[in-house]
Amino acid sequence: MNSIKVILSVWFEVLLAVSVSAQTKIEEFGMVTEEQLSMKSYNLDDQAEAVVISDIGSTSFYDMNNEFRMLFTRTTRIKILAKAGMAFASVEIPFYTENNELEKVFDIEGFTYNLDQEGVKRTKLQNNAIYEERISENLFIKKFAMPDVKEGSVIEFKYKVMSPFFFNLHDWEFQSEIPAIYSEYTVKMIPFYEYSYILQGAKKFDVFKNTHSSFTRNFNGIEYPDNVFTFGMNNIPAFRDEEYITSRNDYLMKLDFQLAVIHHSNGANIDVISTWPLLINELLKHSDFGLYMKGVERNAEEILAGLPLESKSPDEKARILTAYVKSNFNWNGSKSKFCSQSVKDFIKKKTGNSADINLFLCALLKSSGVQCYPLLLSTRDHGKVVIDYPFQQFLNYVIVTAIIDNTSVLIDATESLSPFGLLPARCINEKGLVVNKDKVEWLSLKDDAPSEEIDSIYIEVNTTGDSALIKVNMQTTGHRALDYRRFYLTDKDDFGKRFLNKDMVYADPISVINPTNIENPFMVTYEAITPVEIIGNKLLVLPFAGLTFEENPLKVGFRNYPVDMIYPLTKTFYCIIEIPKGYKFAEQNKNIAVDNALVRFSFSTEMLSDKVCVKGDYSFKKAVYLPGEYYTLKSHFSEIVEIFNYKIVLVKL
Amino acid sequence: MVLAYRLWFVTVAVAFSFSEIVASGFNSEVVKNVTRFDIVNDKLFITDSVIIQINNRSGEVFTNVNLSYHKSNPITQLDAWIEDHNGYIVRRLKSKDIIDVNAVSSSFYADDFTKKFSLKHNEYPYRICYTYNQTFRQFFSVGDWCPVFRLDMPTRAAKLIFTHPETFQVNINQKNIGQPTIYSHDGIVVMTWNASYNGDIQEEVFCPSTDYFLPQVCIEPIHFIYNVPGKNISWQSFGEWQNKLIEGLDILPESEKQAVLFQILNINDKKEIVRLLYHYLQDNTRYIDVYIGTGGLKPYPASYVSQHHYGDCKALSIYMKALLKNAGIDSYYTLVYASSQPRDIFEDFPSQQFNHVILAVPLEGDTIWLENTSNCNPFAYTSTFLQNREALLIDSFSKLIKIPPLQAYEVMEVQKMVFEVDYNGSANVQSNAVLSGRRFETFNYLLTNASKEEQNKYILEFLPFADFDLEEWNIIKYGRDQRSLELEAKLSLNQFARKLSDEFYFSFQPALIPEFEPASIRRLPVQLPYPIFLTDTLIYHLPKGAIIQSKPLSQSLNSNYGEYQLQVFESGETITILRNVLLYPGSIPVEEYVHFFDFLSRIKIADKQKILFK
Repeated sequence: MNSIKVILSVWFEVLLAVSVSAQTKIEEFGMVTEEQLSMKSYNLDDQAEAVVISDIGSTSFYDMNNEFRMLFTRTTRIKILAKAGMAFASVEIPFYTENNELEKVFDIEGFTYNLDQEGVKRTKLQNNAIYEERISENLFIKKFAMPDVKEGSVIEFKYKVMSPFFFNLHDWEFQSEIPAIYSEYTVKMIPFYEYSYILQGAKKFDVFKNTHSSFTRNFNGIEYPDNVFTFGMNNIPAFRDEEYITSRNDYLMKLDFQLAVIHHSNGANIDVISTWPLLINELLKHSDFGLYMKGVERNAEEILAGLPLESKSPDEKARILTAYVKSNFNWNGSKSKFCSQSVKDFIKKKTGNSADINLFLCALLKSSGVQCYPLLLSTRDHGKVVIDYPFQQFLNYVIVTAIIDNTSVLIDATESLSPFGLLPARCINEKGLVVNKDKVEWLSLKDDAPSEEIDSIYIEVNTTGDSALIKVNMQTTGHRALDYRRFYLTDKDDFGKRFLNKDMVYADPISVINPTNIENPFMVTYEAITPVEIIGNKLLVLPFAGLTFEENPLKVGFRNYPVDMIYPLTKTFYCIIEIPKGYKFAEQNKNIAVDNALVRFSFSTEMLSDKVCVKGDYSFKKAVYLPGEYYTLKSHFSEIVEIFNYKIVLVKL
Repeated sequence: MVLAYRLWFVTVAVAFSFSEIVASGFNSEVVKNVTRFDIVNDKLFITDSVIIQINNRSGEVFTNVNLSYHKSNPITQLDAWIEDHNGYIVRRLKSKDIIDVNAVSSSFYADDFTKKFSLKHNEYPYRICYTYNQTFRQFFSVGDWCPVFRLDMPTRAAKLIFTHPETFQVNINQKNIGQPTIYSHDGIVVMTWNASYNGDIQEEVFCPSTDYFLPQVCIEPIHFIYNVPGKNISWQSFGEWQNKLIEGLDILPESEKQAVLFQILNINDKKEIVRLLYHYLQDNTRYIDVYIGTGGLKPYPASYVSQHHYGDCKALSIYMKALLKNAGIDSYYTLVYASSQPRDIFEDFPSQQFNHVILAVPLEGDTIWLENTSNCNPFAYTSTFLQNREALLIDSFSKLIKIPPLQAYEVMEVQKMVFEVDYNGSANVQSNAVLSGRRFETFNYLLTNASKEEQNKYILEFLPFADFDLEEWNIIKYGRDQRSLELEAKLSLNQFARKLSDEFYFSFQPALIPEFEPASIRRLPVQLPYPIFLTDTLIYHLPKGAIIQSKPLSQSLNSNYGEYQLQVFESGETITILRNVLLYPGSIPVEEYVHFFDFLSRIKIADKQKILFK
């Protein structure tokens, strides 16, 4: 990731040399040029269905009765190039509420411009066509559809958001699903709040300016000008989403702001955050983190009574307590590093967010004498952690790390189906921070738990030769088992369909062993009838029917972002084909083996008196493949699809 | 009456207490659902009481309860609690645990709301119980009751109680449910239905709407006031009420009147005028649905579309009607149930059974149907979502009228694929498909409304090959009113012909017939809403000097369900295969399915013949 860090503060000049290139000329709101209206396509991206002509935002601080408020304004102008681009003429503005404080969206204005016989036609967005919706407890949106939009229209809208939430200085996304000609963000800083920022997806700004406002303001006797920073980008390409990526958040070109220091007018400074040790200390004192755990510890004796912990090893204790929390408390689906309720309420309601559950477990482990710490992480959908920047906003989730026999075991008790020590996929995202007041330590979240599937297949061709009975025994562990368990338990019917290729039917219904016995492999057995191809005097038998890739999942020819497989997987097949009477296996034994840095696979056939043994395995060695490795990976997939769909030929004697 | 109703509420709450709970094989089940519709003083009171049993962790999705309502009919007296497996109340819902948010819908905006709450326990099985009331001052329907929460979730016992004064006249339509018990007392009629559902219905390929197989009771007042007074006596009277709701809305603003007339200056052919005005609508408006106020049956006027240049199906239809009226052409606002599978209208039950509005334009000897929400449909195209069903034409003499079915030639897919086969088993393919019908609709929509990249993704999924590199593709539309388009693709197949000792073999491209369930597991009848008609030309150029060892046999198969012809020609190193598949539209009862599936299997066998060459 390309990122730079600058502390914005009026008291220090910024140490950043940036080429100040010419700023694109921006039309006044309400005005449009013929050129913009007659534009038929965007020369830098002829596939674009719409293009952002300009997207201009700013944040400034207002003194309202001796209290500051942040005012965010935004003016966006978009050219609609094709009907498909009309989706960008429906606009949503999110705003939030928390602790009885509410953001306010106001002064929404908009125009649509079209060129008709009489010249430029301007249509105003009507106030009564702006709607407000409540999406969840904290989130609202204002939404509107621009009027009179057609192919060729230019639309333009602006709005303001007044916010009391200084922790969330409005971030700025330069990039969106359509290309942009110019995007610019201005922040007008005051001496009382100091922010840091991180630029993602670019190495430098095309436009960077730092000036002081010509007027000064006065707050509690302190006279100051605004310190104005302007960040601009030219010709930003469209962000086109791809499959198998962690999160759009990790790749978008954007500017993130984080509150660093609050300078009170009386001279006191509060470091909102400056180092990881400070952050850890603050969390340990936080009522919804450290104090919550203390609360659990105070009640631990009562909670632990009845659990068979006496004279148990730390490993056994950790297993018993994890199982206890998993089976008695339910995750409500909410990801958080802070608890959402009191210990008492949590125990009563039996449901809570990731912090309610995992900090509860952590405290119980501690009380029973197991060395353990909370571990903060950023879930995959939340984006990557930047270790160089100690901001708690980067971390949105908490799990537990227990030190057992000098090894760290990572535990997330929100996932009742994952075995002890296996993290759910959402947590597997680079590194996590151990909340230990004595030292700063980051642990890798990659787990070494083998995710394996072993399929044993026995095939008997019927007497007419046109079909075969296959008996399958499948055994899975690790993430593979977790995925299958979840799938099976939520939709047994769909799960059953998963193992049938076209034209296959079950002869003996699927049966599942250890559906919820999570510490043991998840096993599936079934019998099915599968077609056999007859060509002249030959029978063609597919050894791994329904159990391997039928198609190459990587279809596009080119890739911009890494392919994220979440966890490495190994699959092994053992197949025995009974040779029917009057046939023989006439081919040479096959023996293919490929082993490189990206994948390993092998396939072999062997004749054994009246049977053919087919063995195969493949293993994707990496959880994440880089864009540069995409083409090789795609062709390996192609080989795997070919080899593992290879049909064994039996010839009539 | 209000008192009696309150008392009932209390008794139900008491009756909810059970003592023994046994989990079944389902993750969750509706143990009991009691719904009451009470008509008192021309107001409708609804009370709903539900007990859901959660049998295991996977069933816990149902611990998140969402109750939808409109703010003119708020939900009151919401009470909810959890009972453990002994029937003890473990926890009661507190009002601060209820969140009110806008309902999630596919609309751009609707002023519907949802009350959300969640109740969980940690010992299975346990029961979530909730009950609430709603009051409707205005209504055109008493209720459309179906006690099935999800197809894979059984309802053990459901009861509908409907009370109304003897003087309050209703029409009732019911299916898959026994006759109600009825008694009268003090001028109040009490009707009670009992129903259950065992959770065994699943969507299947080309099955009729699953609603057909579920218990349902629809109750409509014969006389009602909703905006204006209406009567559900006949389709004519129902249509009259709808007609009053749209009266006077089809007027264009003066400024637009002239501009539109300018578009059709010097054109005399009536159909041509309709065509031009339809294009004008498509190019100047878009589909944005905003629902404010109850029911959503009164459209926005034409002036609203004039102002914003968008609207929902009702507003856009009214606007189109106004455009036509301005040009002196009559048209009819028409109610229809749009769906891929046509749903029968209960003809002797005049009522709001529709979900969409289109426009019917009678021209000499022919009626044109206009879908006004599509920015890309060809003019006068009745899509697979509208074809072959009854619709209600609205005027002062409203009547049901049939939208004609799509014919085989209107849904035909003509595909030509040319394969250049290599001696190492790979092949280059040039594929040209001329699509009409359902696939035309999909690609036509994508071409207009999706980005190039989304189109690319769709085509990669659509092409029927396991492992290939797509080199080039193109969607070609020959004119905006053409009812077909061409999909052109050039690709290379990494593995095509397989080597068997000293010869190669390959299978030819099978017909793109939907994959039906085997007869042993099919539960529901088949309903093909339109024909499936595939005409394929497959040309295989084998490597130079190849000698063809064996090729497919030409054959033709016929049955009550369709036709299949395969013709195979050999010329030098080239094999040409011509194939026609036609599946007739219509219904196939489940008893006959085994024969239908047998026909499809015979097609599959014919399609699986191999080509061998040396």
